[in-house]
Amino acid sequence: MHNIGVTPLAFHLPSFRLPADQCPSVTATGFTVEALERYWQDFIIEPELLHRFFVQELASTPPGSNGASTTEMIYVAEHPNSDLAVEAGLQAMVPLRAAGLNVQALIYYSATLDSRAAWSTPCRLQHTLELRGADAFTVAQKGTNSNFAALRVAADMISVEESVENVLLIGAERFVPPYSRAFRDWWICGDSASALLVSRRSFKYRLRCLVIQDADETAALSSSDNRQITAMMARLVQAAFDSAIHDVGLRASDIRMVLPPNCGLDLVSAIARECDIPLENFYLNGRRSFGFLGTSDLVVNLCGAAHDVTLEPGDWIAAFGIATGSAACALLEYGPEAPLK
Amino acid sequence: MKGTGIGQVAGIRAVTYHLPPALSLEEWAQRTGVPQGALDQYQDTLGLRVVHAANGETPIDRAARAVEELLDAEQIHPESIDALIIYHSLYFLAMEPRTFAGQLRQRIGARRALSFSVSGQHCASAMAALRVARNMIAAGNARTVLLVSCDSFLGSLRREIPGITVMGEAASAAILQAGWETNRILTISTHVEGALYKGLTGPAKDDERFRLMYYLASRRLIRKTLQSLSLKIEDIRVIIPHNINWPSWEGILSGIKYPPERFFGDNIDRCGHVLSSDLIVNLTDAIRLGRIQKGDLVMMFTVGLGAVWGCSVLQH
Repeated sequence: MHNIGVTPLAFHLPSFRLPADQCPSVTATGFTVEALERYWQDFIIEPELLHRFFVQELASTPPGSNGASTTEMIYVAEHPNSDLAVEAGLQAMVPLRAAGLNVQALIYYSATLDSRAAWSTPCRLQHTLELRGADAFTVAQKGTNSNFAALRVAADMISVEESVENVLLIGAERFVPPYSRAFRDWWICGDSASALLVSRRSFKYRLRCLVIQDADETAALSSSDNRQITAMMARLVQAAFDSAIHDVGLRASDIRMVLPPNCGLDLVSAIARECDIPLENFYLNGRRSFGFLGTSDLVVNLCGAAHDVTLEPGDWIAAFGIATGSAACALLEYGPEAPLK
Repeated sequence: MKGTGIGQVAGIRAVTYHLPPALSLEEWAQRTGVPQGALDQYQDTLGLRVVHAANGETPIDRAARAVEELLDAEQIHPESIDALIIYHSLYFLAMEPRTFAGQLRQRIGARRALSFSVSGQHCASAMAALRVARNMIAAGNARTVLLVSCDSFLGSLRREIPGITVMGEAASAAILQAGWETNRILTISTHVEGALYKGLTGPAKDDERFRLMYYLASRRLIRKTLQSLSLKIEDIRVIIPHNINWPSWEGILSGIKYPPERFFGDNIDRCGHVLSSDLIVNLTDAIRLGRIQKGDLVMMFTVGLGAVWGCSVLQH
């Protein structure tokens, strides 16, 4: 993976925000067919059947706490994921066009189903961003680590397909019922979209290693013991981190900066302890400024860190991701040998 | 159009599928109130006979049944699977934080596997998933990848794509393995017409545009795919199709001048269009029926709403 790098391109946040303590919690009993029809369109099947399915799925989600927010205000979108993704995509195309880069593939990543349920968001992006000739598909079912799974797929594509030099990754999240914004005491999710470039030649950060560590999702969902699950997730991040630094011959002390997900401080602290990295090496401005944005956290924090932290060529960054039943660690080396203009 | 030719790195070791019970089209039409005229069109013009509809079986049960049959038959230990990739046409398989991929991973005991899904191309997601799996192996990140398709209508019998097809449910499983000599993937090509992203819910003009483009894009992609391998259409022993309907294939086959007797259309009648599972269902049956012999070149071709055309060539 020596010749592949990533560049955060853009993120999009809705203009509307809601106080965290006013975010409605969604319960299986409180979620009605009328609520489904208020938020969702283009079901294909009968709304009652879709509603029954969502209620069953909702019942398997552990309750969240509104006190879990890392910010006072939560970003709330009025439009579907697909629209948010287009906003981030249009912003992302500005530097790509300026640099004259051609995109051979577009991957859409998300942890939330689009409320315009029958649309193909990757196809829409391919059309709207005028990426004619590019393949376009979705990588998902990895929760808030869907961005890291998409990064894995893009890196593999560039590694083995000579004709692919640039892959554009775009993700979007919107939490409308039946999705609940609050999950355990880890986070309250805001709505957002993000975009990054994975490239053979033009990048800001060299992707040295990417490890995604899967565990039993069922156990992570069924336990009611938040402390136990937090400890388990921290150990899972540590396993991914240990594997990654071992692969490239580093020690924990070689890491200049950690980009964690913008989740609750208890979880971040547990991760810091397990990975044996001082908490002061963790970039926490993102969680303070924007709160948890799911799959957008990676881009938001890469953009923020580039602005807030002075990095030297050769500095190592560990970007962590957590989701129900999986953890991710991307080791990035700062060193713009071929920076995106 | 993009060809992705990385020959020799991986082959499809084994395939299987699971179909829920079939309803005759007459019974389906009676239960759903589809008028006789439309039924006649589906049967007489489009050549469709049945629609598969799960009767209480959950999607995860359906997928697990296909996977367990495959692993048993091949004596593959679940812990030898490096990646589990789910692909599907419809969107309602699971609602995160619960994932279908994660639940199936746990159910089959694939404890080492990285699991996720590839979608967004509707019925052509099969081709994107195959590409992702092949690349994981070629990049050295996996040796054994389990590809699973599954679609569910959650008990609904609303199955029409009006005037085009009737949609069924199924699950399929395929093992892609590094260095496997059978069904080696020689190339995978796709073509995306993103303007048609609204799929089933698009305006009438999108439908018209899709119909206009359908044959032209199909012929072009097949020609490009063959060119990328320096092959001619007569080199292809069998075409493994999607099962949308007969007339669409008659149009494509005449356009590319392919002998109809070498086209594996048996399942258009027998099981109809089972969405993302069509290709693996058909490949399984073509192999079982002896329609593919060692060394034969096999083309798999599919089209998904959105709109995406996908084509690959395997050597059996």
